[in-house]
Amino acid sequence: MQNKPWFKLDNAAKIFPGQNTGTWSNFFRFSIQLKEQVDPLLLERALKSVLPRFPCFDVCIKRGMFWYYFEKNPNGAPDVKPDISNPCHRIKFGENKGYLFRVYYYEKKISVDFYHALTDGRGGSFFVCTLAAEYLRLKGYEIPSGYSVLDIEQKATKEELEDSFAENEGSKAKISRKKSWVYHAKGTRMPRHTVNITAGIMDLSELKKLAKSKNATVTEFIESLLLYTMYVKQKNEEKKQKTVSVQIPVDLRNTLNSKTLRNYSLTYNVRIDPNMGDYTFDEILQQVRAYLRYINNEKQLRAMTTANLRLERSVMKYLPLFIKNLGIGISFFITGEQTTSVLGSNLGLVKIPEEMEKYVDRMYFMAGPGILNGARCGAVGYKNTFTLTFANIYEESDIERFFFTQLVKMGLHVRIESNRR
Amino acid sequence: MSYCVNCGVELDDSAKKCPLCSTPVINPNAAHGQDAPPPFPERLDIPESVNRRFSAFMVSVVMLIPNIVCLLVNLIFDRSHMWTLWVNSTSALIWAIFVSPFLWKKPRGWQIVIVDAASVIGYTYVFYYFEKTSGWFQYCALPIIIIISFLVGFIVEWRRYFKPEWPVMMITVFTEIMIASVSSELIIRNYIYGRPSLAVSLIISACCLALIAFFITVATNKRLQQWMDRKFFVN
Repeated sequence: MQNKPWFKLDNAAKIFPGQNTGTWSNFFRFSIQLKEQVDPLLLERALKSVLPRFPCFDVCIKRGMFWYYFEKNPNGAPDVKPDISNPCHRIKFGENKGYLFRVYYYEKKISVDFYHALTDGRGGSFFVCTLAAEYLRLKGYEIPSGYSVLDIEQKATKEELEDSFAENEGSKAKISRKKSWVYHAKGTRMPRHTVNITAGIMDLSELKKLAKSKNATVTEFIESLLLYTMYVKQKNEEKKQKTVSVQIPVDLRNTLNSKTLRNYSLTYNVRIDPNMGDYTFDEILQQVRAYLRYINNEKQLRAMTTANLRLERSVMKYLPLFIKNLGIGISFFITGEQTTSVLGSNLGLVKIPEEMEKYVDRMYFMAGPGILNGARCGAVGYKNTFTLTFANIYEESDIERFFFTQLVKMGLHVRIESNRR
Repeated sequence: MSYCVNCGVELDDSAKKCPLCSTPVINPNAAHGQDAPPPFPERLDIPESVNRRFSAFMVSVVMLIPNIVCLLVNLIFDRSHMWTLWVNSTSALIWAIFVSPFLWKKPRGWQIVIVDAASVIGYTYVFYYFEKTSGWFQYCALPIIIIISFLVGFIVEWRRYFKPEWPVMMITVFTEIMIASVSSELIIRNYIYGRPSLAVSLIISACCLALIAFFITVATNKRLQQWMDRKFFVN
């Protein structure tokens, strides 16, 4: 029996394999658009050079008796493929040489779809930026390391590979994980394994100015607009009004001082009840801002982390994996997307070395399609560009249209790119 | 550079229509869609779907094995009593209810109800086969199963086509409970005493009628409905 390097899934990652269905897995995509056409052969070489720097990505997932675990993948590197119009489709652990991420190229764009068990948006951005930097180096450009570009000559540090959830627990507070069901957008479902993508590209400084004029941050502004979009959509299509909520992932790295490349984010749910009365956008913004500023602090995040770990360390850990999977699947069906109307994941600003900026046009961050959430939204800022991408499981584009036209009405210039033909 | 006249957003050079509102792009100064590549590729990578029918077939095979073993053991070692029929019929019932729907491409509600009703009738007949006491199967069990199956099939299809509001749904459910209890009691009493009469089902019907009257009031009275929404809201 060979002694292969292996490590445990982090606390957040543990739930994702149990959520898999035959048609859906929890994925997200991070893309970098360069200023010149991508050469797939060079990209493949770059991937092979970069992968050893990210041992937590150079893995395949295996079944243990009680938990899944990661094992060093012996297959070298996944194939680099021409991009597809339906990214983030479901995963089968045996496909793609056992790798849990897929690398694509299209025109000037390098895209990587990550299975969420592997990492979160920030971890993914490190990988793609380092990959793009190495690709540019192979093209003959001088690209130093720094910011989101890791030095591939160095070995991964212990901090980069740690399960930061376990490292940063320790709250004695007990917080409730109970959430109620909320409104979900209705529409005509796209065929299985397909998704409508609509990206809105705007000027970051203009957006910041607009958010500031309403005394809000960019995240608060964007999340409020998403919540307002779903609120108006429900008003137009339903007689009986349900609670509307937006799920906001929070990167814990800055607050809890972590350098991990693995998952290290939690989510807040901000909700409004339309039965309380009619809301204007400004009222929703005020509510979202107040809630986030009240709740988003180290103590709360630590308590949420501890609550998640408590669940993992309960008697549940003694259950065989197949029973756990069944339980996670049922729990996800009851409490997963049922408790959120829309997801709005703002990755924030991604920085790369100045020398590399000359060759990079923009970045895209896309949350994978949901099961019940009509549209899920991912956003990323790079230099002075803010890109916001919707992944919509419905044929109708009313969510995206309302969202972007609101921005236009507020005076923003928005450029739209989509896979809709 | 083109803009959507309807949404006010800038569109990429390859766009022939606005992705947000489908308004065609007409810009005489910029020839669109000729050289510019679209922002996303057209290529689709549709992963293989899980073959539900194949999975159902595999489950069927796995279920078949112990049944064949039981049948063989019964036939070889103990022919005096066909106890294997209990095992086989119970397996058949479980298979028909839980596995057979996956063997169909797109099963409709009424189709599933017919299969389930047929399998319950078959299962009941196995009991009758062993007991064989004075025709309870054809005079009692069979008509009750058919009536209940019809009522279930009706509500499944009716809900699917008409998508009624919840008070109307409740009225229908209680009406069906009333019909099922009255008809079952008439059939059972007719079989036992030789004449149809009502007793317990009258109490059930009275309760159902009271609830039906209540839900009719809820369905027609907006103020009451609002009061209930206020008093019993969950979300």
